[in-house]
Parts: sequence; C-alpha cells; structure tokens
Amino acid sequence: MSKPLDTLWYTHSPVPTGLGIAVQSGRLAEAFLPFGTNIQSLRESSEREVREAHYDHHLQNSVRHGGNIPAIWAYASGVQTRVLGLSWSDEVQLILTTAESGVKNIRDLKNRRFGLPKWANVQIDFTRAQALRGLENALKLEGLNVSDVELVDYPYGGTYSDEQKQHVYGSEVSLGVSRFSRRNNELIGLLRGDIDAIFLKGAHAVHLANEFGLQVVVDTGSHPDPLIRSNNGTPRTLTVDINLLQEHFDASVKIVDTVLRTEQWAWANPEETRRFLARELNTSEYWVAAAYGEDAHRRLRTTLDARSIEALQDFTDFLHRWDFIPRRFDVRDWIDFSVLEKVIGSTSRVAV
Amino acid sequence: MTQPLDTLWYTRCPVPTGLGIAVQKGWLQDTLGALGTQVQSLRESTDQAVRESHFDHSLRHSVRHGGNIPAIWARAQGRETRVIGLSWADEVQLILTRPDSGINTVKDLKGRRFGLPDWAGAQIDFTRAQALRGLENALKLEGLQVGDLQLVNFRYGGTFSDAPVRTVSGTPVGAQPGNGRNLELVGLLRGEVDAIFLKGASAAQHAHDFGLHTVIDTGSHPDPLIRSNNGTPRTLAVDLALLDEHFEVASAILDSVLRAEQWAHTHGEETRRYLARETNSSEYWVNAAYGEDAHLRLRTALDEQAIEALQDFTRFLHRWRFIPQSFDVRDWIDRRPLEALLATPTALAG
Repeated sequence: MSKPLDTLWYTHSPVPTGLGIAVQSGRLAEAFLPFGTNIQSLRESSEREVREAHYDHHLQNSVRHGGNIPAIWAYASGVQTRVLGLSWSDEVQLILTTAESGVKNIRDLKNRRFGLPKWANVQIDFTRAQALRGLENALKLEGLNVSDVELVDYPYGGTYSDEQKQHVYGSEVSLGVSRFSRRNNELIGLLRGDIDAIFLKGAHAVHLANEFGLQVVVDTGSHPDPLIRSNNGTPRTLTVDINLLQEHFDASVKIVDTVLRTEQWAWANPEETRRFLARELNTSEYWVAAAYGEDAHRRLRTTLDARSIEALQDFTDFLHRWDFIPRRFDVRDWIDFSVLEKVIGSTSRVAV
Repeated sequence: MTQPLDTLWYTRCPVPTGLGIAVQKGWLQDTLGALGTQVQSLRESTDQAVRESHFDHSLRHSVRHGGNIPAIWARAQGRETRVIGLSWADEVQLILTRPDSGINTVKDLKGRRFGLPDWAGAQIDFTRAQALRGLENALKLEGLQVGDLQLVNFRYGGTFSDAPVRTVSGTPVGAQPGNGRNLELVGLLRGEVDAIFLKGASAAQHAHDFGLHTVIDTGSHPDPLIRSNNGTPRTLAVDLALLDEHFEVASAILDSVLRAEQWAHTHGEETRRYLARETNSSEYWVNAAYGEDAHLRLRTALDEQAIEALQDFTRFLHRWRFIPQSFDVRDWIDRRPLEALLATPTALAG
C-alpha cells in the first residue's frame, strides 16, 4: 500500500450499487483486511456531523456510491472530491396521479397542481431536485415547461441526517425514529385531493402506486433517450475525497476493484443479488424486480462511459439552472480516470 | 393402499405458514410426488371458481393453510372440511390514527369515527371481520364497546379472487389493477375517519410510511384471547374426502408442513427470506411484524390454547353474523394425521 490507511469511511445510498453489495457481502471488509484498515459506515456513526458527510462528503478518507445530486453539490461547493466511476441502473421514475384527478397524459398536467417536497433545513434538497427533474423532463416531451404547472410545496423539518442509521437484516433504518416523523407528505396531499400529481421513483414508487391504485402519467425512467432518464440515480457516482486518491492511491484502486468484482459476481447470481437489493432498499424482491427489472443484477455496472458522462453534465447544468448548486462546472475535470484504468489494465477481469 | 390421488390442490395465505415454506422449499411437491400425487396451486388457476375455493373450500382434494375466518365460515355453511393442525404466529394488530387526531389511548376512541372495509361482493368479508375483532378486543380492555364508536364503511367492489395469483421472483402476488386499495387508510389520511385497523407486515410499514400513531397493538397483549383473530391461530384444513379416501396424502401434507417448520426453527435467516417472499414485504418489515423469532413461531400443532381461541373467535363471528351458526370446533378437528405422525418419530427426521 502507498501509505497505511487507518480508517476508510464508506457510505452508500439505499439503492442498487456495487459498493452496497460489496459491503453487505463482506467483500469490502475482506479486501481491506490484509492492510489492517478499519472499515466504518459513516451513516451509522453516532455523530450527526459524520453522518452528514453522506451529503457533503467533507470526511477525509471516505468513499461514497449513490445518488449524484449531493456529490455534484459538494463538488460545486468546493469540496475536493473525485469521481472514480459511474453506474447506471435504470429505475422507474413516475409522475403519479389519482383516478379522480382526470389527468390522463402529460398534456393534462397543464395548469394542474404538482406537489414537491421542500426540506427547509438541508444543505442540498435532493428529493426536490430529482422530482423537479422528473417533472421537467416529462413536460419537455410534450413541449411544456415547469411554469405551465402550479407547484405546491410540502415542507419537511429537520435534515436527512438527524437520525442515526443502523442496518437491520441488510436494510438501513433509523434508530429512535421520532414518534410523529412526517413522511410522504406529497403522497398524502395527492390522496387527499389537495394536488393533482407528484413524482416518486424506484421500488417504493411502484409499491405505493399499487397500494393506492394510483395512475402512472409517465415513467420517464423507461424513456429511450438517456438524457430524459438521467436524474439523481442515473448515473450514480462513485466518489472519494482527494486525500484518499492522492495519499492512498492503492486503497482507491482496491475500492474500485472490489466494486467491479462484486458487480461481476452479481451478473452471474441474479437470485442472490435480488435478495441483496431487497435488503438494501428495504422492500420485497418482487418490488425490486418491478422497479429495476428482472435483469436488475445486470444493471450493476460501474464504468466511465461517454453516455454517463454526458448525462451527468446535462444534469449538472440542470441543477445550476434551478439554483441547487452555486456554480456550473465541467464534469470531466471532476472525473479521475486513472484508478479505473489501473484496475481494468492490471487485472484479468474474471468473474469471482 | 387405495388408488393414488392424481392431484392435490393447495393454497395458503400470503402470511407465515408452514405450508408456504414447504411449497417454497419444494417439500410438499416431493413428499406427495413419492405417493404419485402431483400438486397444483389453487390461487394460480385461471378458473375463478377454483380460485374462490381459497375462501369457500369447495374444491375436492384440497388443502389450505391460512387465516381461519374463511375456513370457519365454510365449515359453518356445511362444507365438509377438517382441521388437521393449528399454527399460531403472533403478529402486530394495530389500531392506527393520525398524529393530529387527538387520540392517544383506547379510551380516546369513544365517540370517534372508525373506518371498516366493506367487501359487499365477497362471500365472506374476512377483512371486515378481523378489523372488527381487533377493535372489539381493544375496546374491551377499557370497558368500551363497538357501539361506543361510529363505524364508517369503505366499500370495495369485486371479490377477493377476481384475478389469478402469479408467482414472480418467488412471491405470490395478486393483481387487482384499477381497484381501489387501502380505502380505510386513504380515508384516515383524508380525515374522513379517526382510526382504522391494520395488521401484519404491511401494517407496520404503512404506519411508518405515513407517520401514524399506534393506539394499541392487540397482537402483543398477554391474553391469547385478546390476540386471537383471523391469523391467531391459522387453520390447516383439508376436505373430508381427502381424509377418508387418501389418508396417506393428508398425513404426507402434515409431514411436509412439520418438516418445513422444524427446518425453519434452525434456519432463521433463510426463513426470514421466505417469509419476506410470502408476505411480499422486506425482511425488515417481517421482523417488525412477526418478531426476531418469526422462524420459531412457525409451529403447527393442536394445543388447547389454540383450540380455545378458535372457539372464542368462532362465537365472535356468529355474534357479528359473519357465520350463520356457531359450532363446537372440537367436532371440526381431526387429530388422526397428527397423532399418526407423532407416533412415528422417524417421519419427522427427514
């Protein structure tokens, strides 16, 4: 190793990621065992400030695989991170309405009320940004703009990292959930008839749509154009802080190597992968298949391909246009190709 | 030995049952296959009359492991079935309210509006019966009665067996697109009612998803009669023709159920995965609803506590006119298959 690494902090969003499965299956810990590196989950820390690094990436010697919005925001805010890989697992991204609303297609959304989450106290409100992206991309398909619909804010107090997380049967859950924590406020608004449509994505979106007999206006996650599909999870970013990359290059290589090997294992093991994903998402295997496809295991693929990079740039421009980030930047300056090249060049890529 | 039985129809509810695990493991198929009998899932049939047998147990040569309400109702209607086992897997049974409803305890329910499902087209509305049972038992603890509340009906169209169940990724799922779902919950969220009853893994998840307040969980009360409901105990029932003509098949079914349960007792992790598939829920919510020891709660027997609770619940169903007449559940139980198996301990070793 370039320099002994005492502790590696890791974090992954509760979504399909190679890093998440590498953690669950014990591969990440195994890979670092010979080097005496202590592997720590930052979201399970008892300190809120450490947990918040899932969003602002301020922690030295940390790796994150997950939604790109917090990662883009942190970099735009001046945090020195680098993207080592991008993974693209298409998922359902639904504009949902009720049977009573009369909304049948995208054009019907014109002048209707659309509910958006609004987390007042967070550094970066990725839930609002991803809902706006889904809405804007849907409307674009019919020549409409966000200003053609009436936006209704659903405020949330607190921050995303107020509660310490723990993993129970592979699912990330909050410890000591406050008694009346409010969730799904836009969905409640929709069910009450206060608004006409909302955005939800992933396994919970299809599950909730089914539970309440909601109508899908459009699934932008299944549109043929990747720029229409691009959002917080498409592509997801695998990022490290610059210290880890520069001072512990071998550790960075080890991380990417482990993620790639884990993904190769997944391609050959659909059943077990689906179980890992169900645990990661805290949902059933059935809803994993519904949201991420029967081929969910094949969608775990971390690369640095041109399509993902272009989508990431397009989405970064979107975040700047909507003032979610303070400045626009060239995502190629943010990407470090050397680690992935080293991994692919030095190892025979056999499935293990 | 009599002529081998060609086909056994099986069905189980999407809840923790030994039969469900035996099917997922392939042991029911194997055990009966050795007798020359093939098995067929009744709820996956394309014929609605066959699927409806999950509720009215009308199909000859069939076995059902699941909620007791349809089984009790079928028996009370005169259907010749026999209970060959009872399993008792305690689960959460929640009276839920909105945090802003002002209801904190059971006593606060007095004079408030309580939402109940109302499947007018179903032969036996087990969803309504189990909600009423949960409500009545909760109120009883504080000396209140159902009449102290205002009941609000949420009407569902169709029946429980309108669409075939499909098995996707090991998960039996019923598709009922377009139908209203969870109407009482929507009513609660809309403020049309003040409280509702939900149970099991989906109850725990809904309560969490919408930040609902649990007024009481009757499923965790120390008195088994307060806990007794559709799922406590669950019935393992066969039609009389199967017992009379193919006793060895009835015994083999019970054998595979007991074997699956014994396997579960020493395989907590794998069992939790099977239960997650059976309930189409996550392993986390299985744990929340059925406990860390969910695998140990799979235990089919014919013990006194379960029989008394079944009798008490049968009287409840009669009192609320869900069944036309009450009956002695002991006349309904056939102990012979269980006794035969317990007399040959090697049968359980497999």
